[in-house]
Formats: sequence, C-alpha cells, structure tokens
Amino acid sequence: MSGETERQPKPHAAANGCRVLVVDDDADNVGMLVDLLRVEGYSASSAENGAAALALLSEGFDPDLILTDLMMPVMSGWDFCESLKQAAHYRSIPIIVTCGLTPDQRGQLQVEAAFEKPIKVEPLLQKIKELCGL
Amino acid sequence: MILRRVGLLALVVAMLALGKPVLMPVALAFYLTFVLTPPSDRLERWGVPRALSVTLVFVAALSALVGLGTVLVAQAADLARQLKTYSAQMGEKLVNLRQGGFGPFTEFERSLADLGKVFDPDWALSAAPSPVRVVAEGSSPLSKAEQALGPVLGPLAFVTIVVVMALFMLAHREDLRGRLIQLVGPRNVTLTTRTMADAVNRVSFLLLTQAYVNAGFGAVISVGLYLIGIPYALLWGSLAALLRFVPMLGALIATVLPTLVAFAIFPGWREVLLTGGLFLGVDTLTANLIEPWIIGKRTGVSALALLISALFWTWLWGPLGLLLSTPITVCAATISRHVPELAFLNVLLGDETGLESRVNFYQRVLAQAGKDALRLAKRHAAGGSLSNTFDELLVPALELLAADEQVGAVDQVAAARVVSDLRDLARRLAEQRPARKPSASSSDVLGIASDSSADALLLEMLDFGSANIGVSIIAPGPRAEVLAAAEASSPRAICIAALSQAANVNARFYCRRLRACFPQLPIFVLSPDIDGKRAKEADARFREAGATDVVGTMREASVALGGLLEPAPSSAPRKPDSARLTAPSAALPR
Repeated sequence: MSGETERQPKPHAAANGCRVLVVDDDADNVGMLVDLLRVEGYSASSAENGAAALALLSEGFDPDLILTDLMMPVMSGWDFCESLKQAAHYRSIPIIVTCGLTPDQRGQLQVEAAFEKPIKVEPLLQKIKELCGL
Repeated sequence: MILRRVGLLALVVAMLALGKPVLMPVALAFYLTFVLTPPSDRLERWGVPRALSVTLVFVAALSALVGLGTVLVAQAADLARQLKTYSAQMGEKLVNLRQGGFGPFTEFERSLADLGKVFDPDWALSAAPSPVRVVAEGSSPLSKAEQALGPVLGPLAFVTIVVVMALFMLAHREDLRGRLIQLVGPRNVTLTTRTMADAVNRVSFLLLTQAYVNAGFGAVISVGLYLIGIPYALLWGSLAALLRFVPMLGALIATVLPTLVAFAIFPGWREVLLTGGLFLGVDTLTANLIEPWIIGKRTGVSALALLISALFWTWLWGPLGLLLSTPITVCAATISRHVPELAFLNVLLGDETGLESRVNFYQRVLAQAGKDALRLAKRHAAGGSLSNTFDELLVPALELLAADEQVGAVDQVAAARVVSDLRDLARRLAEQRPARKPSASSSDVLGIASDSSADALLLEMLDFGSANIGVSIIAPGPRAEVLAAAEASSPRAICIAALSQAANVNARFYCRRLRACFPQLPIFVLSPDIDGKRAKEADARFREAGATDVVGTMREASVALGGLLEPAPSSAPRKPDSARLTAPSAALPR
C-alpha cells in the first residue's frame, strides 16, 4: 500500500448529537455537505429528492435541521418545503435552502435561511449551529 | 369486510335454524354437562372413580327432579281439589267482574259491542255456533297405540337423547376436550385450552351463582306467600326458584299461578295484589341489586346482550332456546375474547364498553359533550389522584388529538377548541381538590411549551396535579422570544413539555440552549409516553441535548420535580386557576 491516507473526514472532538438531513440530487454536493457536517460533529444523512426525504421522515427519522436544494427531480425543494410546513409533525423542523438561484428566483419560501451556491462554509456552519441551539 | 361478516352471520343463523333438531339436544346436553361437571369433579377429588361419580351425580340429579316433580304434581293435584272448594268464591268474583267489578272496562266492552252491531248488520248471525266435523275413530290396535303414545313419544325420545348425550359428555369430558383441541389444531393448543377453561369457569360460575340467588329468591317468596296466607307457599317458592333460570320471563311466569290461587281463594283483592307485589318487588330487588352485586361483570356479557340473546334464541329454538340463551351467549363472548377473528362478537356481546375509556373520553370531548367528558373524568378522578386522571384520560386525549391532526382528521380550529375544552376540564377537576400547600411557589419550576398550546396544557396539568410544586409557564412562540423569557427567569428547575414529534425538535433546541445558560439547573423533558412505546432513542437524544431526565407521565414528573425541590419559603395558597401562562415576550414572575 502506498502512504496515501484514505479521505475519511475526522469527526469533531465533541459530537453534538444533532441530526441534519441533506436533500440534494447532486451527489457531489451531498458528499461535500455530509462530510463537512460530520467533521463538525453532526450526524448527517441524505436523500436525493423531496419525495425520498419525506419517505425517510415518515419512517421515523427525526432531524434537528434540513438542508435542501430546490431544483430536484421527482419532488422539487419548493414542494418539499411546502409539504413540511403543512404537516403538523414536521412544521417545527428548521429548513436551510441551498441553491443556485437569486432571492427573486427562489420566490417566497417559509424557510429559516437560504444560501446561494457556491456556499460559503463558515456562514452556513454558523447558521446551522444557531438553528440547532448550539 | 362488513358484508362478509353479515353474510357469515346470516349463514350461521340459517344453519342454527335448519339444524335445530340436532343442535338443540346437543346444546341442552352441553348445558347439563356444565351444570353437573362441578359436583362430579368434587366427587372425583374425594377419590370416587369417574364412572361412579357420573352415575351418582346423574342419579342424584334425576332423583331430585323426579322427587320435586312428584311433590309438585301431588301438591298441584291437591290444589286442584281445593280449588273446587273455593269455586263458589271464584264464580262470585267472576260474576262481579262481568257485572261491573271493573265498571269502566265493562262499559267499554258494551260500547264496542254496540258499535259492532251498528257497522255489521250480520253481527248476530256471526255469533252462530260453528259446524262440528265428525272424524271416524281408527279401530286398529296400532292406530289406538299411536293415538295414545304419539304425544308422549316425541318428548320422551328427546329427553332420552339429551340425557344419554349428557351422560356421555360427562363421562368422557377429557376425551371430548382432546378431540376439540385436535379439531382446532395442535398449534393452537394453548389458546384452545385457555378459551375452554375460561368458558367453563364463566358458565359454571354463572349457573352456580344463579342457583344460589334463585334458591334465596324462592325462600323469600315462600316466606312472603306464607305470611300473606297463600296455601302451598313452599311449592310456589320452589317453582319460582326453578323458573327463574329462564331469563327475563321466569319470574313473571312464576307469578301467575300463586296470583291466580290468591284470586281464587280469597274473597277480596288485597291478597291478589300483595302476591303480585311480592313477586314484582323481590324480583326487581334481585335483578337490579343482588345479581349485579354478586355476579357483577364476571360473566363478561352485557345485560343488553343477554336480553337480545334471549329474544334471538327464543325466536330460533323456542322455550328451550330461552333457557339456553345465557350460557350460549357467555360461551360465545368468552370464545370471541380469545379468538382475534371473532373480536367483533366480543364488541357486540362483551360487558366492556365499545370504546376504551381514554378513547371514549376523547370522543366525548371531540363531540363537544362537555358534561359527559366531565362526568367520565370525575368518575376516574374519584378512584385515584388527579395526576392519574390526567395521565390516563386527558393526556391520551391530547395524544389522540395530535395523531388526528397529523392525518388531517381534525383541523386547527377544532384542535384549538378541543385543547381549550380539555384545559377547562382540567381546571374544574383541580378546583375540587384540596388547596395547594403553602410551600408551593410560582418560581419553583419554569415550564416551557415546546411547540403548541397542547404542550402548554401539559404544563398546566403538571401545575394542577402537583400539590407542592408551582409551575410558571412560557407559552409557545418564536424560539428567540421563548429563550429570552426563559433566560430572564431564575427558576429552581425547568420542565420542557413536548407532546408530539413536532415538539421534539424544539424541545431539543431549548435543552441545548438552556443547558448552556443554566449549567447546574435540573432540566426535565415531559414527553408523554403512556403506553411505554416511545423509542429509547428519543429519550437518549433529549439527554444528549442536555436534559437531566425524561419523564413520560405527570406522576413521574411530580415525583421527579418534587424530589429535587426543597420546600420553598411559605407563600399564600392559591387556587388552581391561577396557574400562570406567560407569553414568551412578557416578564416572568420571580
């Protein structure tokens, strides 16, 4: 074996126990965000679109925060956010939107925060910490 | 599904009706076996062999029946002879009756007759005697024998079949049980055994208890009739005791003969009325007071089901059906209790209310039947603590409401109304309890409603139900406002209420933030878990977020918080309606 080390993210010294669900159809984006969150001590899971995320929630997955893209197949981020805010059980889950659209293009969304791509990591992590109560 | 069940029921009823000649003797033999099994078992426990015990029990039963029948027939014959003596009085009474003893009725009868004459000119002709048809009598010895024995042979054959079958069943009861278990399937041996044991216990208990109650009934009737002066009081009492085994109608039938005797032998009406009144009074007392007290709910069948069953079996199988209706219903209810596929029968026949008490209570609140809901809650509270009533009725109602909200069965307006009604009920229940201990202080516990007014109500109930803990409540609102209000307070403990999954996210958020703000303070999460089904993972996550402990019931919360808090300096006792619900932005009392 070569001396190359495997690219495994190192978890944060103090895992905070918060669960974050990343919803995006772009595997690279998902990989990047999940790795970033795990390094920070979060427990991160992912779904490839809104419908898959709703299915995960209905199975009992109980996240502290949802990071979602808007432009996705099967169920878009707009429909997903609307479904969450209308469902009695999910309406309290904070949502952060990550997309490549301007605020005007995004339209009116009932979400806690929105970040345009390319995402600036520090402000995003700060917002996640705030919404998780850390 | 419903159509299938209705079809199945119709098929069963048709089979019961068509199979009456075969099924009725079998059912009667089972009935006799149920009655005679306990004494036979008793004899066997004393060391008597099976064959001898069965023979003894049968001989004793038959002797008792024959003996009683002989006495009854003898006394009835004597009575018939005595009746001739009083025929003059009877005739006089009947004449009085016809000539105006019951004046208004006679007038009514005459008026009807007059009306008949007016409308029907041939009325007089119609009263002419009917023609009589003469049938030639058979002269052969065979036809004579047939005429003589015909009416007796049928019942005799029926009785013989029943007795022989009961004898066989009693002697081979273990063999019969084994065959039944084999029929149901060896895999269900436990269920079948349990069901059969339960059915035998319930039916035997019912018959034995009925025997005691009816014996007491007969004794009281005998004494009463003796005191009234009716002859053959013992005979009528015994007859009443036997007839009372026939549900609903037995006592009524038993009333007829002694009342007729009173009518026949006494010149006035006093004794007749006293006799009827005696039967009516003693039966009413027995059926409504003594039987419910002694038998209670041990038969597992509702009174209404017994009544409907009596009607059904009488319609299907006649008088014997009436006699068999109670044991058959008890058996059917017992079997349906153990066999999931027949659970619908238990709902129809069983003595448990159709709805679970918590569901019943929620249904009453949902239907805006406040008085019913309060009555149910008061009845529940009478048997235990207020916290128990909250845990077993009001909190489950909130959980059911949350579930209904989730599936969209209840809209937000209706949900808000139900929560408001439940709050009102909780207050009214708390008002009937002794005043809070002076040691309770408003700054004891800071309550935080995580998500909704239902969470706030949980905290109010904690306040009402805890005698020595005061809870200051922050109403649900934006996270920042709730946190600002909480951080501005100086409680001795914090309790975060989270009723539903929606509330869990906020509850964990508040746990983290408040733990950072109050590192040493006990923080409890009140997350109702009445059935104990909540995932342990949810509790672990609350603890991970900073909660000291997670409690699932009001009682647990009261105990946990009460144990933590030392008695605070005395303050004036306050009424339950002073539980403070503070808006997140408002200043909290210190």
